[in-house]
Amino acid sequence: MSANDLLDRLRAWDEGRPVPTTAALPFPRVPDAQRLVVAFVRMAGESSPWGVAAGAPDAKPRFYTVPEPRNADLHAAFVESFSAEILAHVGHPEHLPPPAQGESATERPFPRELLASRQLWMPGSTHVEMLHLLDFRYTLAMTGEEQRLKRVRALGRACGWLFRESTRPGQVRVHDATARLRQLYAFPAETVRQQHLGYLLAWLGSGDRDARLAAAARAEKLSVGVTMHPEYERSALLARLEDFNARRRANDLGAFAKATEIHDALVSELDRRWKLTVEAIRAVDADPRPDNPLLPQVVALGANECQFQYWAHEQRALRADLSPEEKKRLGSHPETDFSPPRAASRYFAHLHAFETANAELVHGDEVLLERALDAGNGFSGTVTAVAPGSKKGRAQWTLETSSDDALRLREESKVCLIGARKRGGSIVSVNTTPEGKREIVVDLRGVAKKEVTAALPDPTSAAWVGRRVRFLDDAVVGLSLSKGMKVWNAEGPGSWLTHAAPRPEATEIPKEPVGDPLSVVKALEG
Amino acid sequence: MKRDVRRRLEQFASNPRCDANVRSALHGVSMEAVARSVGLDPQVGQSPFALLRGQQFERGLFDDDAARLRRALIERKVLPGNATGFLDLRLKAQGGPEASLQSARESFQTFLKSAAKATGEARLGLPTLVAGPVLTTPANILGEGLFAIDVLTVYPNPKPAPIFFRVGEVKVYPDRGGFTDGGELAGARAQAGLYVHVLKGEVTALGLDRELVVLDDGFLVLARPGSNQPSVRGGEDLRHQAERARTMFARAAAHALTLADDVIEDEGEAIAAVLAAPTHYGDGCLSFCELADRCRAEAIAKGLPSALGEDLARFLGPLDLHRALALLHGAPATNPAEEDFVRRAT
Repeated sequence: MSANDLLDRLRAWDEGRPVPTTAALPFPRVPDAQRLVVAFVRMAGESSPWGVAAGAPDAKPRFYTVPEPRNADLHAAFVESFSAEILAHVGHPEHLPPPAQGESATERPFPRELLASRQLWMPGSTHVEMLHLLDFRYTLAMTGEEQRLKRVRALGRACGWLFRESTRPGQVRVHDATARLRQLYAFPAETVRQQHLGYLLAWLGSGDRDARLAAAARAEKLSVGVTMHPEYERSALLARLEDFNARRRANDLGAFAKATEIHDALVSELDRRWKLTVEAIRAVDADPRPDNPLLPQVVALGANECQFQYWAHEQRALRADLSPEEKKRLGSHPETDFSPPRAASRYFAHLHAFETANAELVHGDEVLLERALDAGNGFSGTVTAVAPGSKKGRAQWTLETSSDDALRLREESKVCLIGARKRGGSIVSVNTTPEGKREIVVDLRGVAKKEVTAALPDPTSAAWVGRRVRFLDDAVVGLSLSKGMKVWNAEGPGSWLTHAAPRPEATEIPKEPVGDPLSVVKALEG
Repeated sequence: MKRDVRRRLEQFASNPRCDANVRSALHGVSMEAVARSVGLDPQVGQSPFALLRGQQFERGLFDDDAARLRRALIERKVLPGNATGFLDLRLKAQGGPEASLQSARESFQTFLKSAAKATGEARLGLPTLVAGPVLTTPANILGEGLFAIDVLTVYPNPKPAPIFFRVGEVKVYPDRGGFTDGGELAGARAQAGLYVHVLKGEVTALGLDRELVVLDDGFLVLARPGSNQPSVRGGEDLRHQAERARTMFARAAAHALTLADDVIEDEGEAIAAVLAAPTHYGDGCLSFCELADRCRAEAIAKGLPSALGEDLARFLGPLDLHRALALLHGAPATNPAEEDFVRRAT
């Protein structure tokens, strides 16, 4: 927690309401048709859902529940029942609109326009974790009817990818509504209380500080995580579930009525969580701040991730000419990469995502920019002299800045001009003047004539003298991406680490049947 | 006063800076009762499903001479492949043979003594898994309370080498690899570290510390997601947690000494004494104390920055909320601390 965050919290307390912490939204607002809101509840102690609510925020949610979540067959049937909701949202190749005439499902191009902006909204972190748990339970499902297995495994893989995507820095696809509100506002409360979506929404309501504080205290009494309140489980579900199990064992048709009662009891809990998430979305939609204008780069990176980390694998898995063993390698295992180069590559992919989000969004948000300057990642000053630069077309600016400001940049650091991002260069020197001021000399690249305007003259123009300008560290984006490709090289630097262990050998699967089971047993008997 | 003191120890450790909490934990006065006495309606109690799931998971581990747990421990190399033998000291209520914590404690002490004396085949044939061994807290802290370790692994060696013990903690939550809840893991490690510290003390008190050695590393047994199969995390370094437990006991002993003359038998008076004690509200109170909301309201009324978070309280140092806001609104700083705050805030 930075000093700025703490001061924002203090100001929020002073004003008696949450205060915005950014000048622009760090994720895009998309039409409701692009959004899917999903909320889970689970039986306490269990790691799989008991019920799911899913739907677009402008429509009524659909509810899916299972009366006895500890029964593996019932649970698989329940998971299969809502799999289409998730698979259609992530754009599983079999859940997309039919391919164009003459195009096969295994060859159609990635529907970037359709999938790039899709967003999954969930109430909080425990709901996002449920995606991971579904991945654990169903990606490697082994027993059951073939068609069902196919669907629940596909759901497991989709959930696994969504969960992994939720951990990628700067991603804009999987939204934990609670975390998003915290990202947009400083709330006047302890960090631990800010984990509750209802609590945050109550603070965003109306009234003075006392009224909002009281509303928040009331809201936090109600559970919004995946686990329901123990008292509710005891009073509304325990007896019904015991009754359901007893009737099911006795093949009593009354079990159906009990299942309906359990469904109804779960729906009220699911509905509350789902509606709170929609309320959070509406609060975001109503926010007067603009979307960060530099989001397209971040969204494009997310679309690439969708294509290469999920969609392409799923499309390839549809090919009939691939063996089961080859298909097995297309999915990601919920527990491990099995491959150090792959793990290293994903690490660099996350680093690249972090760098891209940071480097881009800071230019579209004045608050982020101020924070970057405060942290010493840039400087503001007055141009005192313009001289010819190190090469033709280049200019050397001398700037006077306050020596009290933090500065992490040094000679040869790359910088760019705020407001004209393409205008950059490197620091030539940083000195202190006899008057105690800091003097920074920057060698600036030349610019094309078409980029010269009245507001932004050529860097060599003396019109810059006397103007106050700001420079920011020009973070090199793309280096991590290229490292992520290089780690696959078994001969390159670091291969002693990434390629030390041999890759696991694939299990041979006989292509032809070995023979009838009886002859195999007899052969074993010798 | 209840003799199973694990929860009281955890309560004490959760906020030893709060006098009301210390008094409640050390004197065994339930905070729930305290909260009810002032008209609060604390939401307490565990889910019936969670309780059942926990019991089923633990029973499954120890069924059939702990075959399931042993297999998982061998797979993760916590136990050697040839490890055999199971000593069950769990209570009857948990599926074991022991009638009470006291009898389980006596059985465990007998086991420790006989293990230390054992030689030859008898020594090498000692059980390698012990479920539910019961330990005692020092009498000067919580009135010689008893609590049970979930599981202990035993590594018998031929004399003169000592017999090694390794402490294990069982939790029912799912092991999600690197995404497993960090707070939950920290809690499990803290609990295991406390057992390491107390078991070491117990062995020393019995004069067996040359023959029996409690290792500083332990293991956690979690559940595989969506199943009752265990997922073992071996090689958990518990030295820091054991040291933390030692410090906690020392603090508790110091507190117990100051409160020794103040033991109140009457429940109503004991509750009143807890209510009268000064409080120290912190972020962690929300997770364990039924008075948290009341203390927060008091902190807000007094302008204590901890009402908005301990991180903010640290940031403000000696300033209270009222003064900090006044400074933000332009009031002149009157001392170096205020000057420092104004410098950081502007």
